[in-house]
Amino acid sequence: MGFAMRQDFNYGEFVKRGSFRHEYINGKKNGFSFQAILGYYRGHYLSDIDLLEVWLDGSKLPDEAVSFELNGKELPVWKLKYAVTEFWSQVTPATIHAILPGGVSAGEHELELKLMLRVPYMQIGPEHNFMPLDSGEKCTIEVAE
Amino acid sequence: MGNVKLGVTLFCYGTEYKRYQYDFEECVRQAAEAGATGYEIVGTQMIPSYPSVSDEFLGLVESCRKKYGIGPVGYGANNDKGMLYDRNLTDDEMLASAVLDLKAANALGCKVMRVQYMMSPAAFGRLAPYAELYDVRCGIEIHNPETPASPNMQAYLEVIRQTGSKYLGFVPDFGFLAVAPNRPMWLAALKNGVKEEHLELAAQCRREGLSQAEATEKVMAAGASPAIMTALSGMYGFVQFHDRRDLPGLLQELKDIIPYSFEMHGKFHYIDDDGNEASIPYDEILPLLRDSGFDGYLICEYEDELYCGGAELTRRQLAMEKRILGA
Repeated sequence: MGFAMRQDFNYGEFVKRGSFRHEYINGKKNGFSFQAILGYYRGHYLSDIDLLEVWLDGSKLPDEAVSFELNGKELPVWKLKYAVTEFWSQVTPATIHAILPGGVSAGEHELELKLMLRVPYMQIGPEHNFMPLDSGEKCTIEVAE
Repeated sequence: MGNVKLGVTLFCYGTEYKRYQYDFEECVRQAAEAGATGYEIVGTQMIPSYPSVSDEFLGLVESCRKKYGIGPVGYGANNDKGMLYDRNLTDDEMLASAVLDLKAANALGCKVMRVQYMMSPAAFGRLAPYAELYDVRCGIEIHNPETPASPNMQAYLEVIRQTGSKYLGFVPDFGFLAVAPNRPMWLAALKNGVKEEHLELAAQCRREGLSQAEATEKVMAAGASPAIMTALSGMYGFVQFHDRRDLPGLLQELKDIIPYSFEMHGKFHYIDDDGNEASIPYDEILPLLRDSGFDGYLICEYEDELYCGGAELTRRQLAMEKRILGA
């Protein structure tokens, strides 16, 4: 990956600590959620998101098992690029949901959110070429039963 | 101090706001306490219902006005040309989006709107009748590395003259008058293990007009740490600086553009304990502004490259402006 801007307002925290939750399907642990913090001084339309992936312990979750929830609306990843009217404020964390059959076991895990955006007013080259913004993070989480 | 009015953009408190240390009201209170008589609001940063302005938010703005005596005077628009995933917005789309910004600025009672140069000169020209309807004067921000005389800005000037509208103009940002390296980037580089002699070499390359590639080659050959790259790119980008010998010419450019300017952005990056900006020569800029007859807001704008928060430095900036302007 080439150069990407990072803004460090939240001391490098883009996956909100303490936000991990198990998610249940029909009463059984079958996934998880956590909150994502937008790492920029202003908000962005969701259409500025170029990449969103969730990785757990080194494995990427399938795109269709991941969704993005903001302001009471839940979007599959593929819709983000078309979400030209959904505005994500930098002070409103979004919730990332992931379906994982069997859920996450108790103990330490490595969670990675890959989140890349365009800074849509910072054109750095000809045509559609804008400053990349890295708002992702790899972190270790302690999961309770 | 002539007709220069002192204001603050709430962007100065962007770090505190992002960290939930300040809410909107606290940002306004800080601006008032620093001595601002009005403030600029960046729509994408602090309007919760952006791009619309809700009645609830207007209520908050009014309640703050009653408590602290100040309200919004400038609206910072973002012109997001790259918001679609596969192509740039067209002029028609940029224009229509800016009309909504005008509506927001008007709802807030702002009489000036900062427009970014992502909006083409042609689209900017077409904004004039809407700006007149909403009674909001629109100024293209002249932001480093642009200067008033650079070809991009001259293209806007041509459009402004062609339309003849008193509602189209500029918002010069004093960052273009920097004559020394950006202090926070310099400090950050030192902290990251870059030797000062290598930073000085990079600055010398910039002053002597070497290209960024040539400067990079030279500092790396001198054994600089790769951590110098952020500071070096800054010297050629949004925080570039000029040789001090160029200052008279740059001040003349500012003077020439003042009749077309609705608001000034008093950019600052670092105010030392003696109350001076490390790279932008305010003691030479502000007397010129005061004596030019400029009638409008000087909105001070802190770029928090060190992520340390803007409250204290903004107070220092206002104090410095008052001292120089003789307020």
